[in-house]
Amino acid sequence: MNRMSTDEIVDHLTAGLKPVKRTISPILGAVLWLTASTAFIGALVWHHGMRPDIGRLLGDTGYGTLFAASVATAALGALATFMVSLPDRTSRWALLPVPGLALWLGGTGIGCYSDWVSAGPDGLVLGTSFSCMGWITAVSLPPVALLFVMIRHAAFVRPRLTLCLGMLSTAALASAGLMMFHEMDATLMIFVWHTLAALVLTGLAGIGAPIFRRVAGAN
Amino acid sequence: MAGLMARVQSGDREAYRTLLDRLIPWLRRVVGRRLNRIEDVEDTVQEVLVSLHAIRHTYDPKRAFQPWVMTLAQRRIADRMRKNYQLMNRESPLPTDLGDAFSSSAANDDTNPAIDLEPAALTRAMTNLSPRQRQAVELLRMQEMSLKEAAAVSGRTEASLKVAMHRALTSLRRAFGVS
Repeated sequence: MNRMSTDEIVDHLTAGLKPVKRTISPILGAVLWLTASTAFIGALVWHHGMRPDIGRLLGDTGYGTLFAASVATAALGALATFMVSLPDRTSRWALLPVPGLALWLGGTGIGCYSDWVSAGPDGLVLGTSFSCMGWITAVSLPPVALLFVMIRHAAFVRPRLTLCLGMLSTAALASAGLMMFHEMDATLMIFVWHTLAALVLTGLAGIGAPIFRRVAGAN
Repeated sequence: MAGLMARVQSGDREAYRTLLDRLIPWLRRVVGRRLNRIEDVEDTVQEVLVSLHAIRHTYDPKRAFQPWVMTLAQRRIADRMRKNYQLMNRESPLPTDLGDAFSSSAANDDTNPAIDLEPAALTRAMTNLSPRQRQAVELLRMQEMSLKEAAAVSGRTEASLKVAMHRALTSLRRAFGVS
């Protein structure tokens, strides 16, 4: 079969050229997306009602730090997502959410360790909390869908990296929302399941990159 | 080239042609340094052009143009290398004795005759398609373009191409007696 020559491609592309609206700056994109997603998750939290001891908990160093770490991961992750989606920005922007993520993972690890020290191996009984994972997944879907629309051009640039960062940011935001109202006896369990959910979803996003490319028309 | 690209964003076809004419030789050099086969180089250059066209709205004229297009080139080179590697793993070498391969019973099994796919028959069936259906088949199947690429070069929407492709396939199946 004859493939189109490069000259023919140029003819077709120039003949079909239409004016385009320039994409918004990555900082503005991240701010808009964070605002919309925070409003959505905030509305869910408000609808569900905050846990009564939230004020005391956020004052607690461990809980407060982890809450701040997940919010920081979400914010920095969002900016990194919009940055790496553009061809002329370095992929090193992907390192931006690392401090927040390190604090988040570190805090969870320290929580596990201190429980283990204070209560011995019995202190590490985790139990299962699939509701946490389910909530984070369900709550993440609309913000992720919005993100896909806003950064679909990334399918031509760095689809896997952009998706992973976007998913990490969304899961971190959903986790912060969940911490506002989810009542659990074992705080540690919340941290571990939130972290697990975020990591699993980020991994799944990486696997889903070829689908993203196909949907966005880059394949 | 940043100035030209800004004019391209506002729909200036003259500027687009000038930009692409200047860009293509440079792209051939960049791609040619990483890929050996001439057809791979040309295909990859074309894929970079289609990518540039598809996401031209993401270019910020206040920033340099070369790093923007360079990333697209590097991504399409990586895609091509991955595709070639996958193809290499799927292909098996031809048997050394071709006589045995062609005379084997599997190669001469007439019990389930294949559909008549003589080029002439296909050409005849293609002439019965409408021009829009024919264009969809040519772009999507014969030139193996993605919907996005085909939409970009034909100036048609992806939905219209999908519908035309579906109708064309139905018509071709009927022409070859496949239900």
